[in-house]
Amino acid sequence: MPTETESRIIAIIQEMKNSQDIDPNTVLIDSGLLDSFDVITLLMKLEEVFGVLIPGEEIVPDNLGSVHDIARLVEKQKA
Amino acid sequence: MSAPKKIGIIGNGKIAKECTVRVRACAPESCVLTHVVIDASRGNISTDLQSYCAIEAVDYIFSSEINGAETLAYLGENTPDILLSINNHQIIRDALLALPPEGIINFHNGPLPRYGGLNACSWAIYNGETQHGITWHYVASGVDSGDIVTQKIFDVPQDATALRLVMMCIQEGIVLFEDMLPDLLAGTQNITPQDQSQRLYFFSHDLPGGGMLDFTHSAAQVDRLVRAMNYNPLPSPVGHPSARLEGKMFYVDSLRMISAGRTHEPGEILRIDEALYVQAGDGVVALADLRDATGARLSFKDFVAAYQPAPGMNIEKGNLHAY
Repeated sequence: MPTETESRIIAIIQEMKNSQDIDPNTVLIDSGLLDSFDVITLLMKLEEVFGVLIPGEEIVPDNLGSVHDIARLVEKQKA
Repeated sequence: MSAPKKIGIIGNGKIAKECTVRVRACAPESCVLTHVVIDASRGNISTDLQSYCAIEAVDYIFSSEINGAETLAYLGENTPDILLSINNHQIIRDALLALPPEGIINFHNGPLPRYGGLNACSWAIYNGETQHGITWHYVASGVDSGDIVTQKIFDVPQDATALRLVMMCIQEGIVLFEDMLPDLLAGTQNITPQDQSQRLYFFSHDLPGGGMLDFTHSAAQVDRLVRAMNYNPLPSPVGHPSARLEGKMFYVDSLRMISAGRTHEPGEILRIDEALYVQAGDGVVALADLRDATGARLSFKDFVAAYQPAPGMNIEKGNLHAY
């Protein structure tokens, strides 16, 4: 069951990619689902939706690999 | 019938991936992808090319030294006729340059011979260019100096940040590559030597405006500097424009132009609500997206708490690369 943060991130990506087939563990980058332009768009949306500023040093593939990873990053910035 | 053209690719990121896709989509009798070298010389959030190669089972190597023996040996097997250098940040030396018999073609995100070197998009915005461009050109001994294969000039949006312009260059570069590829494979491409008298070149240590905000400049100039250094949400390769308040350094990510006219000394804080309203040379600007002296982004509320700005205080130029 996705957390609330994960659900909101899933909704953002579904809208961006016009795809319903995304869950918290869907591989986003290594699968080629998100390319670098998508990542930039996603980061902008995260700031808009969650009001969090993602520091540059956190913007690495390991933190963006899945919805679960991204949610953890968002929660860390909110803390 | 001639043999298919063997194409190798050195690069990284979305544009290298998209060009790789297009080479692989060529008819097998016209070309074949023989090598992919992923430029690993600097950190990059983009794993586009790597992901694509992994999914499509395309052989590739990483290389942080493309002129080194290991990479030369890799490319030396079944040597490509043409090597494409696409978002590759390493300078190509003579031994590599001599390898492909039909040369190396590089993508540059500037309208050569203008805006050669690094951070072309930042410089174009800082200089107030209304048009920018992209260039596919042969690699010669000098950086960004070889003959031009094809080029496209396009309008720069009035409010473009450096990242926005970089993304436009990538999108335009992919389209132009698709247009260029048939001629390249047929050997019918037009070659135009660069007019070296028009050359404009920027090194990595060059920073727009020295990287420092100067409110004696016009509001438009201040705005251009801020946009030229804005790569948000990605880390900026040129840092952020710096300023000082009561001796404390801070950095500015974005600003808004509020009104024309000058009623106070440049740099004076006129009022504070959800932003700092500051007098520039010929108008008032509002600063809201700010970073502290370590480069960490601050909410405006946290900025006010940490810096305690007040109307009448003066914002001065910052220092270069203080963090």
